[in-house]
Amino acid sequence: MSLARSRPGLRDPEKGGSSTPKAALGPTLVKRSARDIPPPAGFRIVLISFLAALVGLLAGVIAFVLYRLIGFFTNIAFYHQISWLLTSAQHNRLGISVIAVPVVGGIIVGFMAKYGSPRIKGHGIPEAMEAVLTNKSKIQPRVAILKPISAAIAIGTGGPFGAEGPIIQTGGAVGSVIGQFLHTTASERKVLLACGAGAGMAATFNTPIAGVILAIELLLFEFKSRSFIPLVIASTLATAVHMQLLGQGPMFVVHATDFGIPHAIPFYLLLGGLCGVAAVGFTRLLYWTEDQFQHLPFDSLWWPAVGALALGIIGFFVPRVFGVGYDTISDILNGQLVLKLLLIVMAAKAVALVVSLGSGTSGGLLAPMFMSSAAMGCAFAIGIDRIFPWAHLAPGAFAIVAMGAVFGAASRATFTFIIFAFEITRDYNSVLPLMLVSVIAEGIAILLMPKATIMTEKLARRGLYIHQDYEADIMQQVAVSEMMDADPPTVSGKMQIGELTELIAHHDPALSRHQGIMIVDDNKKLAGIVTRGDLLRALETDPSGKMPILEAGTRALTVTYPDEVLHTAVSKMLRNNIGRLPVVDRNDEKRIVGYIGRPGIMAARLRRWNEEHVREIGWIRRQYVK
Amino acid sequence: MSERQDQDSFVASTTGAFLSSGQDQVSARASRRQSTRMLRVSLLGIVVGIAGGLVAEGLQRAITFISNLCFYGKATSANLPPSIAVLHWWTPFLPAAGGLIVGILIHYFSPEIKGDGIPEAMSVALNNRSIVKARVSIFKPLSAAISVGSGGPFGAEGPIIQTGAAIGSLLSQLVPSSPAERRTLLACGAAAGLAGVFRTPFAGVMLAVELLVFEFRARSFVPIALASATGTMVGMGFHGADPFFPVITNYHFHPLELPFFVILGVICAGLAWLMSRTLYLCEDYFESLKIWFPLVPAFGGLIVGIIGIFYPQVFGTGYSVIADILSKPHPMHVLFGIGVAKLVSFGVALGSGASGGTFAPALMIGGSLGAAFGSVMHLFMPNASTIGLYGMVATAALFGSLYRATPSAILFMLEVTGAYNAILPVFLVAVVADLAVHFFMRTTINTERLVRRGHLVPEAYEIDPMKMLRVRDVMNPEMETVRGDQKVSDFVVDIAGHECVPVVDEKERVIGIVYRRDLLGAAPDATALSIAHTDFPVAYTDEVVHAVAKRFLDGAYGHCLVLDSTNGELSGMLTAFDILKTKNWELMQELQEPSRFSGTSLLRFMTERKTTK
Repeated sequence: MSLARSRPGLRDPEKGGSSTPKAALGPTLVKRSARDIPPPAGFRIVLISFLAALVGLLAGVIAFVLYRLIGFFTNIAFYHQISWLLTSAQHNRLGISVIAVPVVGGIIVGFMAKYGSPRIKGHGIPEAMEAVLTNKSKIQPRVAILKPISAAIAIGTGGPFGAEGPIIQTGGAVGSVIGQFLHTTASERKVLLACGAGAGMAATFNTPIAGVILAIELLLFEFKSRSFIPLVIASTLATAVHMQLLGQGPMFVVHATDFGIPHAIPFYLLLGGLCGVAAVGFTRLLYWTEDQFQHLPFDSLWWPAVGALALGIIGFFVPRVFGVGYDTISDILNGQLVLKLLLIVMAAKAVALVVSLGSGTSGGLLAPMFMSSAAMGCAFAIGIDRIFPWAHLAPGAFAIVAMGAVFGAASRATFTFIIFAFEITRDYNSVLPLMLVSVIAEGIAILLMPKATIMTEKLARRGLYIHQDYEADIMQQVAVSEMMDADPPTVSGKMQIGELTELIAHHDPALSRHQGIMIVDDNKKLAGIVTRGDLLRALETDPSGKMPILEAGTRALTVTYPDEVLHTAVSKMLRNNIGRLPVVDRNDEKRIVGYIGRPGIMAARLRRWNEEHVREIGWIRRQYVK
Repeated sequence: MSERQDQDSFVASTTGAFLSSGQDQVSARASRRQSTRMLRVSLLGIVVGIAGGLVAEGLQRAITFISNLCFYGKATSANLPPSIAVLHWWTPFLPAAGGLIVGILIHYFSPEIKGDGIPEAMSVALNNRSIVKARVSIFKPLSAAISVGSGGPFGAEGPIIQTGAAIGSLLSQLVPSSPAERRTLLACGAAAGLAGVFRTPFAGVMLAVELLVFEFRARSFVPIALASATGTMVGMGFHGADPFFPVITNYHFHPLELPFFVILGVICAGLAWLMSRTLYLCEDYFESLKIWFPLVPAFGGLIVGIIGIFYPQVFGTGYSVIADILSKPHPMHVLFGIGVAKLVSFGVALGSGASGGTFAPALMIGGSLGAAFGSVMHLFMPNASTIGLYGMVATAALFGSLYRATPSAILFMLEVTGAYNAILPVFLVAVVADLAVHFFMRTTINTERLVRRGHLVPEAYEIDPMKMLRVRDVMNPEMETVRGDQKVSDFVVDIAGHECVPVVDEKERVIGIVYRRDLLGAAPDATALSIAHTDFPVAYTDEVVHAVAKRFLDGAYGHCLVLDSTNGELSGMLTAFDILKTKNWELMQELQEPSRFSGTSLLRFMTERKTTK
């Protein structure tokens, strides 16, 4: 007889119940009976680091290949020539027929999504997050093939997207697939997936630090050195590959600008507010557009074509919206565009992006948002300069800062994009304005939109709520001895069940405190444990109540020690499906030291709660309060 | 007051009233409250940032002032390094005198100023609800200025971090604040202090996140980033925006250097172990001495003075020495000598109980020994990267593995040298060292002290699954119910496994709840309704588990009924055990699964057959 019997095994939720869980998280938790769980495997950091190196190299190559593919499709679609060089679509001479180009691409992508894999829709990062949280970091191998091809077609036919989102997702898929080739735990796969994604980011923009922090902030759901080490290795190697294949310099060539510290600081504060509002406004606009597509009367297969039609019309008037637009971003960052053009680019790119991304094609969000927000920052600086001619703001500086801040605030991965914008410019003077503006923008975005971000809103609509506050696990910090009942009630094994039942039914203060009561032998040594469920069942087989307690209870015990951390104790409970553990001396497993039940473990959390939410009176007010 | 009312709305009465709208209001109110709090903490963070930057500047000036007075006999705060001062017969006794004064301060005024400062700040944040005593903010900088100014081989950063933390904590104690808010402001002060000295805003933020706040989330990140940026601005106001340690890095990607970088990483991890061991060995030895305490730091100071006769570079913070090592080539034996001398004098002096930081010594030891390694390299590969690059890389690796704060170390080194083009070797060596140091030691130089006092220090941050999962993800949707008119004897066996069961009427609406405890004393022919409790706690399917857990704790109950948040129907049971099951999500992440490719699918098929038999 084992203690586990005191609780029936968990049942499959699919078999009934009045409500079916909406989120995919539910079944993964409940489906497996806790008893099937083997002991946790260790994290093989050395092996994962080597695999991460492989993933990093592959991600670097993927980035290169995707660039070439985009160049190939752009050349075919806009210039009708065969070439692999990445060119801009803005100088095409197609005239009015340019409207048809994106539509063709949209139709192809629509078919790929319908018959290939629906996962290729969207901008990549939410899909990777979803795989981590609900699918144990397993991504289908075909995503690794279809995603880059669909993205190359969508962007090559004029889609206003960046290559980085698809590269991040593809890199993640490659990492996950490599993890699936071997016997790995879900967290090892998660680290490999994040390595691929981070390396993809690093390889696209030549920004190794931002790649690492992006993976930490958006995909890992943990901040540990076991995941940091492989990440850095992958990101470093991807950058090295980028340097070999695409050149040493940063993605955008930015000339030295004067960041105007300290005289421009008040304007930076203003810009921070503006960026926060822009981030929230943009997120809302994107999801509103996506909702509008849901109302369309025909199958989702044709939505990308509809979005592409709108894009084609915009692109006919403002050809700069076509394609990744890295050249336009460079122009903006160097302050080479005039105010009117900036405003047009900002609005046209934003509208083109929400329409085409909302329609469900495949493409990255980063580059277009960078273009819009950089244009906004640049226009802001030029506008302020017109109003206050003494301010002497450098438009390029404001463009860079706005670029980092808007995306940081929209995705709440602020630190990533502070570092990203810094790595783009490699100018230490940019750090201060970047930090100020980004952090203010993030604060405002949190005030306006506390629950979801541009990355998580999509998942929240499917019932998957993402929580991205990393904190130290309180259960790893508290030892069992701090939370146990050091003076637990015990009963002698010879007592009859009837007597004990009587005592509990009359609310004996000591015995009714806990669900389980420890049984001791004559020498006060631990002999077993009996729960109320055991008593009820024993009374059923022996209604006279003469059975000795030791027979009703359990003798095969799982125990814990006072110096163990709560986490270990909880794992024991969960693995054996029991709700309480006797605490015994490490040297003498029969000597009772205490008793720990579920309430004791939960109480550890109360401590944390109090730290968070109980405010103590400050010195200033102490005199007013008795 | 309002919180109390919020609580009440979750206890249903007999009708199982549907209260979901109340729940929405509660969560909306809570998120608004959190946002305004964050705003307040952020504004305070800016104040702390200015104060931290000023303290950093003040302390640095105090150190140079005392150092100039001691080594040059001039009362100025001009930057005159003690390493190139003329040696007098009394020079070796200066650190001893400083040690004596600091010893008296520690012994009679404030024991918490002993040592580095970072472990004390961590300890306060972890165990003391982030309440720092006011005297620390005066005695710590004073003792550090005396100790370092008189030639002690320490840095000013540890003390600045502790003082900044003290200021942050004191400011937050002025106003009503929760421990979490105080911890954030404490970290703000520390970040601003570090960023103020070295003008490294990123590293300030990262170090505060890694060592002091024990979380990585927006509500603490925003104030810390603001404080760090403000502290940097204060520092730049005094010294301009040039990098603190300019390095010349003629770095070109050269595949043959790769293995040497890996070796260097492992060496740095070994050095971190050595530094930490030396310090704690010395400390244990000095603690076993049974003499008047102030004599101990004086004795440590004397040894430093004697070493200083041969290697005057060990005196003081040695920033100028580090800058020199990183920017100019030196002979190998000089570099090696400086590194070993600094290591010994650091261990002896700090172990004897003086007040000073471990940070600058780590920079000097890493810099000089890394540069020495670089010059060995040049014997084999004359066209390898510059020696300064090796010094820089080793510094980052040693700092990262010593504090086990590699991300901070990487950002710090890049910012402090302004050499972004060295990012790849810095990255590589630092993570190799980080990986290797896991095999050398379990604690770090900072946490060792706390572990000895019996505290557990968190090393990793992760999401709390309880805050991510919803009630419907963990509840038990299939439960036994009893009808109100059933007799106890009819259902007692069926439900013996449950601690409680809901009692429903003929339309499956909940009318009460029966606990197992009640059954033990109930007459066999009583109806379920007669022994049922009509007040019972409820939760809704859409609630976050964390919020329900809090109600479980407050109400001291172990189970509740779950109602659907859209229509209020009974959808399941939630017990305390189910709440603990959120941990399962974490545990399942650590399970090994067979590969889905290769021949194992056949194997899996066979094993599945076996288990079903």
